Amino acid sequence: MEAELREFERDADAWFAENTPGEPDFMLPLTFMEVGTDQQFEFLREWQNKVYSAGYLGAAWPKEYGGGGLTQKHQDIATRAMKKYRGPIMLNAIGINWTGPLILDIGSEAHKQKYIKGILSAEDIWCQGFSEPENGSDLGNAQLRAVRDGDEYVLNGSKIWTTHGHYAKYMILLARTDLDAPSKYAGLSFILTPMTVPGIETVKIKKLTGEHGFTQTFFTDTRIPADGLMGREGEGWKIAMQTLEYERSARGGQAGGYVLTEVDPLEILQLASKAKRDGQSVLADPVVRDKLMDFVIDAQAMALNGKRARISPLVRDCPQALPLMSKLTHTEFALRINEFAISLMGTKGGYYVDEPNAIDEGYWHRSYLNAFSATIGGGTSQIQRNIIGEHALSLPKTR
Amino acid sequence: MKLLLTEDEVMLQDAAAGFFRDKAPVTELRKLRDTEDATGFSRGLWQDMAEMGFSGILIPEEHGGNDMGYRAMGLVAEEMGKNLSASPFLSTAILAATAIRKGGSAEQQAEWLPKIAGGSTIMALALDEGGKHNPAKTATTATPSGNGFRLNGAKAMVVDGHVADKFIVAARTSGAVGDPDGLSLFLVDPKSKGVSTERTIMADSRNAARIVLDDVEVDGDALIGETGKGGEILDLVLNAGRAALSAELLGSGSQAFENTVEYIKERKQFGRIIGEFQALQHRASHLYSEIEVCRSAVLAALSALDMGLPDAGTYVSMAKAKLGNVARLASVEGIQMHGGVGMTDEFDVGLFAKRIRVAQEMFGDTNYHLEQVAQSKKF
Repeated sequence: MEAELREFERDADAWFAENTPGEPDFMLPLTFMEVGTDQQFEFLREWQNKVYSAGYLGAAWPKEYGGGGLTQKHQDIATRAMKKYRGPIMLNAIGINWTGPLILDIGSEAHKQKYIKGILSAEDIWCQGFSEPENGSDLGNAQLRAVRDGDEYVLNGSKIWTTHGHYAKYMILLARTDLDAPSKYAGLSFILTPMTVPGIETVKIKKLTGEHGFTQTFFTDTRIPADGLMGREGEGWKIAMQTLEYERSARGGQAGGYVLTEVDPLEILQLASKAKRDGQSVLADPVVRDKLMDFVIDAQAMALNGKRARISPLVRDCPQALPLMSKLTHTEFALRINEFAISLMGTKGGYYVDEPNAIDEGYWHRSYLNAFSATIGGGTSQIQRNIIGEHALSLPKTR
Repeated sequence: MKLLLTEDEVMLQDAAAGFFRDKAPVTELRKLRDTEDATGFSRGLWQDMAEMGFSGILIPEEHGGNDMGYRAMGLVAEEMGKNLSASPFLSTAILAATAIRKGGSAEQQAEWLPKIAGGSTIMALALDEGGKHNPAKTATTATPSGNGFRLNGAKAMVVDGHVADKFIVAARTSGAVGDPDGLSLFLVDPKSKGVSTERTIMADSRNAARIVLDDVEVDGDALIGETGKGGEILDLVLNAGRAALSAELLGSGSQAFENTVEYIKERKQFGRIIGEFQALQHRASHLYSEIEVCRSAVLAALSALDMGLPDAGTYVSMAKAKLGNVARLASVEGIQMHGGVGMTDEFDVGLFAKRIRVAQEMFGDTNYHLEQVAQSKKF
């Protein structure tokens, strides 16, 4: 086994060294949430497909559905090689990170046969229909209506912040199937929904960075096959929560790779070493030094913490606690470090993408603004703190 | 780097947790304080700690220790931090034992290490002289005299100084104040002519002393290691001490936090348990997250020392810097979230705050260690 893993590692290393594409002549998105142009989309789709075809994505997923049939160790090796050569992000994040694991864990045999391979190959792009314009953090109050009619559901309502909404072939949808359920949660169902049927309209939303990447999605008397229902009617909330656990990495089974470009404090150190104040390096400023070292220390300790979150005996008592705090600390850290990077640039920190004098082509400002998507998406930091308070610390539920 | 405790480590942790909870809980510190105990810790407790093997945790078996190493040291220190247990563990079993083990001659090791492991000798490191911690600023001098040296200077924050059977004094044998080189370490008998010792009154009710050395004569064999090479030994001694303090701060900070969470689950205002209020929940969740990050930082530092990594000192500085910040936050948030009772002597949270204040400053505060990390990264 060890020898076989080493060989796999050598092969993966050689493959990524050979095949990782260089920077294209257009701007790539920093994360899967900012795929806004067809050019970006096609470039990333082709890359994911290539990685999958070479056996370096979904390596640990079952062979009979299109996976590699190997172990998580193999996939981790492949992901490390991808990182080492700074390969582009995986495009089909919602497919590989949360829909795929969910289908493999609780989907029917037919679901697995139909969806898994297309998720890995990026042929079938997935989006998520959870948040609604009137129901964001209060997800349990989702109102999009699904009415059963024979072998079909008829959908009416609207979803928002639909990442990949305009590219997706399928959606994981949280819909209200029962208006008379004893609680708001019990009236929800979880449905795998095709996006290519009549009655669905996606409207792009422009982000504060100037980029696109998500849509508002409107459903008007949309008819979809009822065989997309996961579990039973009324189990939607439970399944949605399980889905969020994959999203927050509180549950394993993801296909591998990465879907976000993380800020490395060493890049900030490089940036800082170039920055000047009154002809002197900013590193001579003790306040700047202290802040920088705080980031270096936090980054290292958080990385170890992320590893601890994946050691099962450490999370046995409260499986959510370490992963949840990891999500919270990582995303808040990303905001702070990007903001600090901008402050290092002084007046040039105001320059934006396309300004010829902008440092690193305005990367830092764009990265800073996009960092909010992680402190808001997947549960805001405030919601995370509620959950940590209630579940990790057993504080009484807020009324 | 093993992030999970081994079976042996879990057994040690359980043993230490039970031991300090039974023998040296916070009420024992209160007793020492309220009776103005002259020793500042219980000698009986120290004997019991020796029997448990805690005093010999960094001492080789041939000298009566069990040599369990730094991770084990950290587990013991963390439990002591949770209980605010007063003992000469830091001064004697960690600082002095490391100095003699790493720098001492075979004779010195054979003479002193078994006594430390057996709990019969208390030793104190006389290093800091006031102002901020910075070994390079050592001004105490040691000049050749007869077959030995003559020491002159004044030391402060000497932990367990007033009850020590021996001092380990850092003095300058060459170079100017501010020079990191030129330091030497000496074993000094507190009863020697020219030594005066005065116990200082500390916020944390623990032991520290001021020491004046006025033409104190020592023999040549009082020197630990080589003349002028004391700085290298001190680095090892201080790394061990700072790592132990980081682990202790983790224990004290997490216990202060735990007390606070328990309190906000019981206290009612406006007809509600105050833990229902998001303003308090979010502060508690933030602290929980930070303390978990600290746990990783401390484990990394202790493991790096055990593994003998060349940059172990950087890991230790990272831990001490992070713990200084977070334990402090846990204590001030603890007082604030307790409300009025947080201001009372009756509730323990104030005792934790006071110990954390002293421990975060000892052997370098957060700013000192951030600077150490910056220098290690060549900034």
